[in-house]
Amino acid sequence: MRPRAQCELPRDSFLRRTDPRTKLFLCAATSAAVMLPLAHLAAVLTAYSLLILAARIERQALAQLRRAAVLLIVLFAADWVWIGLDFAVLIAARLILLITGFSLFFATTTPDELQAALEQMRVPARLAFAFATAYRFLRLLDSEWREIVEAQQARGIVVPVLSWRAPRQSLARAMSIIVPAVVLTTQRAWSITEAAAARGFESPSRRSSRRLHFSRVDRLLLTAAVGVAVCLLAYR
Amino acid sequence: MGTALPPGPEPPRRYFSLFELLLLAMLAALIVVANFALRFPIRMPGHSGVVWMALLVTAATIVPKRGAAITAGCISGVLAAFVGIGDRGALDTVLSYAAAGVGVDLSMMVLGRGARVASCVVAGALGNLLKLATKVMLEVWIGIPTGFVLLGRLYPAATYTLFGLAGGYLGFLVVGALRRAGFFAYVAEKR
Repeated sequence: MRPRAQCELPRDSFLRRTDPRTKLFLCAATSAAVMLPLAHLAAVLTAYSLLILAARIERQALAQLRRAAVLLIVLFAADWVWIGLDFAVLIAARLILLITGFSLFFATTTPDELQAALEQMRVPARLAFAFATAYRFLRLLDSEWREIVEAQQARGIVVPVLSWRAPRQSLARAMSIIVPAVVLTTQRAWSITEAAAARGFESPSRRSSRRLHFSRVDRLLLTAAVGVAVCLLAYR
Repeated sequence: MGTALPPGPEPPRRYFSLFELLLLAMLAALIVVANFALRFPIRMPGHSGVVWMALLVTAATIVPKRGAAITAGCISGVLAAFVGIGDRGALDTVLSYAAAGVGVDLSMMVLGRGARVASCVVAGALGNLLKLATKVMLEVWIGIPTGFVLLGRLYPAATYTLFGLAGGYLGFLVVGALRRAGFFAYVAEKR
């Protein structure tokens, strides 16, 4: 597994400089637009595609769609055969919007930025901190998991662990990997807790080190999104 | 003798301690790692639920408070969305991971959070089924005919239940092994 590093985000995307709260709003609004009728949906889909192209994250959005390609094709064919072409297009467009709806956010935001946004949205700082910490440790947990698997293999425990032939043995093998992983994870959680406490994380007078501000681009994007919504409502 | 400093403001009492929150977050990360690292040779829907539900049941037992599995589920959902796991987009990933946590927490609230095999097994099955239910609800929400959806999900419903039961039982075994190793006494000291 390769958790994405900050340097892997598209640097030339203007969405990298926008506030994560703006992006969250845009994604939520796009996902809500799934319920619109076909003509309105086509307008939203076009506007959203233009935004994705302008933000230069079309590769990430296409990767999401590629993973759901089989489902999309089967569903489109079934809807066309049993119900009709209009309905097949409507469902395909809705599914595409739902699948790509949040790629705009996740392709251009780091977990640290999400942490700052969550804190400013009054989500408890401890929860936001726990989430960002877990993300930072994904790579380490992954390598630890592999080490446990290799250690158990050296002891003669065969992985992959699940098979129909010997279910009880399979569960015992899975347990031999999960138990040490849980113990190591707990030890790591405790050492982070101690480090955070030593740095005064739980102090009542603690302030977030990072403040987010709406820029001109944020205001422009939000105004455009509200404008599109008003137009769609007016031409209902 | 100098004058004593006035006492600072009392930190507010929290539902989850920082250690518990970090532990749940790290277990959530472990769920994502396990989902990615473990590739079983079984080609059946819902098979990833075995290790997934085992870890959620373990998380809900190690942190025996309401909302523990939901917290782990939500965090693992957002982490999975960042890593790019899931074939139906980030919204589906976040909601289905969170729903699994809701299922585990709900059944543990009703059946108790002890080391009973029944509560772990039912929690695993309900968690895995709610994950599937979320996918079904999203499909119905976007307007796919309910008949299509239900017909297409009959077989997955059976396999999700089966793998959920297996995951719950694996969770029970893991909790038992941890208890025998004195892990719960270790965690109680830290809490």
